Amino acid sequence: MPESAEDFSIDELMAVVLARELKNGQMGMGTMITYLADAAVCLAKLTHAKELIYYAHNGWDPKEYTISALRNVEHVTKSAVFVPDWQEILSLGLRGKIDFQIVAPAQIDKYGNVNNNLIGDLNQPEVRLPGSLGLPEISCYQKRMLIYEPKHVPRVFVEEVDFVAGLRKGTISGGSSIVVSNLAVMDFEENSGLMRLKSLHPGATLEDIRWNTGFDMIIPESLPETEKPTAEQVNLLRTKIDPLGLRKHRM
Amino acid sequence: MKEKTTTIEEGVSQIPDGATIAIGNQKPMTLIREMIRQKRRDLVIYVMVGDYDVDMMCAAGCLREIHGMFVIPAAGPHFRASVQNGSVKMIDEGEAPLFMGIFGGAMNIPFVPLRGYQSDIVKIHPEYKRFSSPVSDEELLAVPAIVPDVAILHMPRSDSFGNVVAEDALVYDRSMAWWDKHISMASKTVIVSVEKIIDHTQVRENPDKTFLPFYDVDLVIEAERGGHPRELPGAYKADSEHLRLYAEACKSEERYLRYQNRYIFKVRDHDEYLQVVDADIKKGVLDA
Repeated sequence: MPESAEDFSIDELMAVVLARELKNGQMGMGTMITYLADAAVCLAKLTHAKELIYYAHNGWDPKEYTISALRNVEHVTKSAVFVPDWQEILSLGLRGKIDFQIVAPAQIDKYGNVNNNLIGDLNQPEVRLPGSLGLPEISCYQKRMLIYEPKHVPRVFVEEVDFVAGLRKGTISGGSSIVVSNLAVMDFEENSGLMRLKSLHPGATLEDIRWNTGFDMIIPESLPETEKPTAEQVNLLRTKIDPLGLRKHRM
Repeated sequence: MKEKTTTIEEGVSQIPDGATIAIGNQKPMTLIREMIRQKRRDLVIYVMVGDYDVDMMCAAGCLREIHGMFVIPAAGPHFRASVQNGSVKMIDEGEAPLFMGIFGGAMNIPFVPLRGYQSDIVKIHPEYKRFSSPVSDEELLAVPAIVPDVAILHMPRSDSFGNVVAEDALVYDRSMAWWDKHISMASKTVIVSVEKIIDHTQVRENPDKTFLPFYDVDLVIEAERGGHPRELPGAYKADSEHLRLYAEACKSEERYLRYQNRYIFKVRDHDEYLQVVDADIKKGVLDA
């Protein structure tokens, strides 16, 4: 067992939790502005999942796995193995060939439905959000939708989302599987489909979860602490993958 | 092949109020500004991702409805305000149905079936219908074809007949290019602004580089830096100074009206727009 890091930040812990979910040989896709997702993918790729293949914006499997490289259109376009057009991307999804996508929607409810479209009334929303992009497609067709939320607060973790952009239970594929916030890791109970606390991050308490969640989450009897990152993982994130700290976006 | 070149003013005057317009991903900003200048109203637009095009048209009161999957947050203060005050309606589109709708338009078929599609996106599109597959044992979603009145695009080069060459820009983003290509096939009229009108013989030298053929293009307009303030891959970068100026202008309604006057209503034409834009950056004018 490698030694846990003594010094790590919550964004680093979240990246590590997400990275652990990614398996060697899987194919995953990136989304807009989800730097923490990129950090998790790079970390998996550089440690336990060397054969993981990622679509970063324009191309499959760019040469360099750092956040800056994945976000550099020119680098991706010039070093990737394939720059697909939209129909080719959609086709992969519709054929169930994408293993995971990590998303960070504006709202998530107790069933794991996600919203990135609007808050309030459909016809005249209180807050108009940017839009769902591929959330419906990710939840309907891809094997796993991993969710992270930099701010575990009641306006994000709601009883019921105002607009179901993506459903937890995908019709063909998996839908939401785990949710990683700045306080804890959550999953979903098999029978009820309700969100369940899986582990608490070091320093977070059950009281924090109750105060900051807009619904009653299922609390299991035994509740472990989220496994800490290793010193190697933290070092990789800080010095190689993301020296600029882009992963801290919205933290 | 027919001559298709026209001026910015004349080209945009072909777009009537109330038209349904599909906008290319390589945003034809010169045409957008001209629509604002000509005070086009009641427009319904289809975008893949909304950018300054959507925001500027919201600010100018050109729009009735926006169909799209995303509007870039940094570019969208007027978009948000217009939807929140109810003056513009946002119809959220899903990636698969939006693309398949445009594909249906391009293929001249009434609908495209989608498998296993569930989302509130379906609820806000009463035109989508669930039906039993006639050839297999499953329920499908029929997404009707989308046939916009007009597609407007910005591309690197074209000859005067509308053979559009775009290789540099496309290498960077084939995913974006799929949309531009298919809205040009789906729409009834296609208007393309280009950086430069080239000689027809140059098209014939490399026919495999022709991105849009003459038969899918109705009007060609020369507009150098017609994507400004956005980039055109392979040609120029985004004008980050001007985008900063735009963000500053968005901080109050009064400042935005000054921006709009200075860069849209008060300039005589596109050439003068570019002169004013460059001169202002040189002078360091950040408060338009």
